[in-house]
Amino acid sequence: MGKGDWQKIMENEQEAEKNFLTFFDKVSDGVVLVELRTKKFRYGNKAMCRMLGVSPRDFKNMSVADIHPRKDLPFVFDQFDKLAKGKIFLAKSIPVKRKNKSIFFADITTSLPVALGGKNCLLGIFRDVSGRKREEENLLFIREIINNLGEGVVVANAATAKIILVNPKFNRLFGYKKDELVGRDVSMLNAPNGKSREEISRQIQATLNRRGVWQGEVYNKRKDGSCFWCSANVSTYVHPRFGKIWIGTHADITKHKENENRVAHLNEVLLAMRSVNKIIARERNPQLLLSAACKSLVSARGYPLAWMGMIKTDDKLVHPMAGAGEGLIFLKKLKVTWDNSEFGKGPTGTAIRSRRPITCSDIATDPSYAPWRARAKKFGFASSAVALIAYGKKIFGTINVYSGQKAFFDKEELSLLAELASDLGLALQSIDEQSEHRADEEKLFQSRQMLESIFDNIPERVFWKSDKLVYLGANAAAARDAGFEEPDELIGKTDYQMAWKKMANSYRADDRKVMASGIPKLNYEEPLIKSDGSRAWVNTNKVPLRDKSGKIFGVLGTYEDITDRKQTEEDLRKSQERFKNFSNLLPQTVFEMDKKGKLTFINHIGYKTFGYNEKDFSQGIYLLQLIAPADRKRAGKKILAGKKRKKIESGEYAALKKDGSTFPVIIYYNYTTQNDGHFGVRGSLFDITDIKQAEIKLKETAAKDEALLSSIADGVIAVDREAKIILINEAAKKLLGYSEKEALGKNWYEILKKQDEKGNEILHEKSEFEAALTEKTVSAAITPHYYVGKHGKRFPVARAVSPVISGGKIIGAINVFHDATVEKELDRAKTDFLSLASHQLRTPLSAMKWIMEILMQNRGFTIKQEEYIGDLYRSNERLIGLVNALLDVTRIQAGKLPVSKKSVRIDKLIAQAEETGKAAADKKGQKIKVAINTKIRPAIIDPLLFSEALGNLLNNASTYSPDKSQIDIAVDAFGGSYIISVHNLGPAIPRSEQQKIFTQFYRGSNAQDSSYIGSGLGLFITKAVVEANGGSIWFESTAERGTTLFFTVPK
Amino acid sequence: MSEKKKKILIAEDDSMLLDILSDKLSKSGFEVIEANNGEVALHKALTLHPDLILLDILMPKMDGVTMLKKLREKKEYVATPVIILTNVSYGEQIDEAIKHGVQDFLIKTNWKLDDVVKKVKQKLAMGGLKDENF
Repeated sequence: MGKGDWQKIMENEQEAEKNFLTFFDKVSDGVVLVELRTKKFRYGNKAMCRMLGVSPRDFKNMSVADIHPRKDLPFVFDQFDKLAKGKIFLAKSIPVKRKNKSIFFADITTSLPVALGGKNCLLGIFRDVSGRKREEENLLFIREIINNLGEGVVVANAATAKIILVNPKFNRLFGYKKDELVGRDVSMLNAPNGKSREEISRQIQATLNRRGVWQGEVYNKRKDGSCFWCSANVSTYVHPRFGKIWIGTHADITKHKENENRVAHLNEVLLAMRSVNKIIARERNPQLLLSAACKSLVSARGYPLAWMGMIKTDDKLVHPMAGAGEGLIFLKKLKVTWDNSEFGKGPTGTAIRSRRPITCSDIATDPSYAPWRARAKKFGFASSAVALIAYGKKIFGTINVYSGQKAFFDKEELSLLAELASDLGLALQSIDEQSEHRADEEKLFQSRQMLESIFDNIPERVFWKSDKLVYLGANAAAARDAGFEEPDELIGKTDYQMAWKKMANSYRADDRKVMASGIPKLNYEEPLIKSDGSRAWVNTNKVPLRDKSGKIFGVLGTYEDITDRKQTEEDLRKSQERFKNFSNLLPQTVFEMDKKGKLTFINHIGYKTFGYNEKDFSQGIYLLQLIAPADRKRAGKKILAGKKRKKIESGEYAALKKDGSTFPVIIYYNYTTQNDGHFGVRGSLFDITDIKQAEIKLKETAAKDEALLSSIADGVIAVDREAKIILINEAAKKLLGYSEKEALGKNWYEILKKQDEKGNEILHEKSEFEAALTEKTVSAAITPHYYVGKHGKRFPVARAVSPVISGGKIIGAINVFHDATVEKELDRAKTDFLSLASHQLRTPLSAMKWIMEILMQNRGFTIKQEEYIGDLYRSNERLIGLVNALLDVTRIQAGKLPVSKKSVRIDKLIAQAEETGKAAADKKGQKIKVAINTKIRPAIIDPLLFSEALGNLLNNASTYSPDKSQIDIAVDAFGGSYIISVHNLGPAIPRSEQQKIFTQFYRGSNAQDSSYIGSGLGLFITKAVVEANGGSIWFESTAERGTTLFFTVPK
Repeated sequence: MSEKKKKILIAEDDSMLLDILSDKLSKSGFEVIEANNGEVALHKALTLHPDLILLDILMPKMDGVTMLKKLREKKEYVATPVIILTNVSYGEQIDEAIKHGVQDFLIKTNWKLDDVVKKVKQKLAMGGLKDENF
């Protein structure tokens, strides 16, 4: 329908009716006329009515809302709105509802609004596109299937081999990300060591051209470079847009391929083993057998190296005996053992020890392969296998094979290798048995050879001469001395032709003497001239040679070069001389003696110390002569008959001088071996008179200390760092009823049972001992404590516990205590007195108070007089305050602080305290600020005690804080408590005094310097009052931030 | 004052204090009965029917607590208001006294005369025996 047709219709409105009907009824699309405002149809052609399944008459009563599913109506109406604004409506695949409620899809086009019969109308054309819609959906569905396919799908342009599309599985298979492959060449998916790209392309192309389908296996490469086998299915298809394309599906068949390879591989292994076995059956020489077996293994299996090592039990080494392959050099310098060293923990050693075949699947990472890793890598070995060559229990050695691939040796190959090795073991065993006989003959030959070799290699020179003094023979060493290379050259010659010809006469004289007398001349020293002209000292033996009848026919001589020994002896002599000279310089006695105990040397000091002289020495002095008779037996046993150890020994003895006086000595000595092989003793001897005296003194002092400690009336218990008792004195033992034996080594709390006043046990964690050991705190008795002795005796104690500190570290603690029963009674008497006295004091105080009150109300005094009365009144008030405080203290000390709890709101109590404290604060121009930082609920406490505590703290704060400063009261909640803090800007409490501020009569040293007033009882009372109320009290004080006192009350 | 004067019994062994209290209370419009020990106090209480008793504790012959105990044994004196005015601030005697019903417990040194008078007036105004918490 063209635009021209439209206009024509609209222009001829009179004729329109008829023309409409005839014209549109012929159109195959649905045509409707609809009123823009009401959305009611005015006309629908036959095709439209057919589409909807309604009669033309029915249709005229329908509106737009009737022909669309309800959910699509908003969209449709929205389009109407747009139409009203002059936009053409062209919508695709709009759902339309038939009369029978079924749905079809239509593309809808409408005209711009036109006026028809006075109303704005639209002409709409519906084209049923349900077919296309279905196709679209099918397409989506198919794509979904492809995306979810278990096989990888790739679509590529057949002409350019560029990838058009791949499914996710394909990406996963090849390790690529989404869209990464699109536009790339398919050949990049082929493994490099598969067939070439062109070849595969050609092959696929050829097949596809012929049959349209290609099927086969391809070796593919992933993005990370790893390769795998795929079965591929490729077909061609001519696509309207892309032209000719390939569609390939790929499935990973690596596993399948691996299995195939494995079967092939096993066949190869089997073949190799068979060829080795042939050799085993044939070869009888073990060396050749092993070599042949190695060669065969290498050629059949392509191992880079195969070798066989034999083991020896003595050195636990594996000796390579045969090998083959390109990596044969690896065996050079190869050290393999089967002991517990790192060289024995590799596959070979493990195989031998565990008697089973072993593989090393990755030489690069296997920790046991460390000793050989670097070299093995150089040779390109990646894995190895070892099997035992054994027969029965006897292990001959191992067969070792290598591969350039990791994990090359599988179970099958290993078991075949093991089988082969056991065949080799069998062969070696049978060869062994055959060769045993031959071995005996060989041994004989070898032993003869060995003798000759010994004869030539001993350092002793051997020669023999005839009765005419002509040399008949000599060993190699003697020949060399004489100036000949071979012993044979000596034969037939005389001493005049030897290097030592100058000595010939002397030697020959000896020879004749020996032959004439028939008596050997043994072990004598004589000079010799060697072939190089050097002079040497030799030790010679000459014996006559006799034939069977006993007639002397020559002389046999041996000599030994003792030049070095001679030199050593000379050196020794010199060094001994030096030692003796040196020892004469020493301040202590130095001696040497022989095994009988006779002194062979004594230095000058020695003579002096003991009062002997050199004449005495020459007559013989024995070591025991220098020891007092009482110690002689012991010294004889220890020094003379003692075990001959190399280390230096020592002992203390009483020494005896020639004049009969004695003195204590310590003798250090050790045993020496003399030239003649006998032992001797060399030693030194110290006079320890001074040391002994010091020791005695020390003992005396210790005894004195001990006596002092035990005579102390106080009990003393000391513990070490572990709280174990190391000392308990007499008084402590008596007080507690324990003996030293019972107490020492025990934890102190096993001995010191502690109770409070009411008889409750006090936990040892809370004790002063613990505090001393952990915090270095020194404590004296504060709270009443009772100790309970072994027999249940209970007594109050006064005690002081302090840490024992050495070198800055706590090494223990000491507790000094005594029975405080008497003190306790005194204390009670004092308390009673104080309390009574306080009451008695109060009576006149109240009289004065009241009288002055009356006076103050009287008129007629001068201003000065009024001031005096006011002063008197205030002084009296202070006295009253002091008496009240004293009474509080006595009550606290007597443990009689009355507590009467009830439900109160602490904010109200704080407000009261603020009001009371204000009077004092105002006088100094101070301000009190209260901050309630938490929600306050009624607490069950004694309000009087609370007010007393807070009042005291406020009073203190005001007293110590400078004029015009601010005092802050704050309330916070913490856990189950309220924390009340009172902060002032007064001087800081000195660190050294911080421990004491809650004690009686404490007043800050700095406070006393100024004009502050106070009894020094306030904080002591406050602490007691706070604690009676179930809270605790503490403070923070610094020069910069002033002082804050905190106390808690339970919520 | 058209009304009949209220009678206050003061039991106080210290004569100076007794004078001061007596003087003050008289001036404050009360009829004062003086007693310088517990025995006298008990006798005067039983015969003169005071409206309120100011009672010291430490007194010769009979202490305040015993006096109170005996007084309370008589039915008609069960409800007589008693204010303890003493310098004993704690102990069994106090607990005992409280047990027998007292309207207040005042430490002499801690109270001004004016405030003592206020207390007396206050307790009289409340009348009857109404045990208080303190």
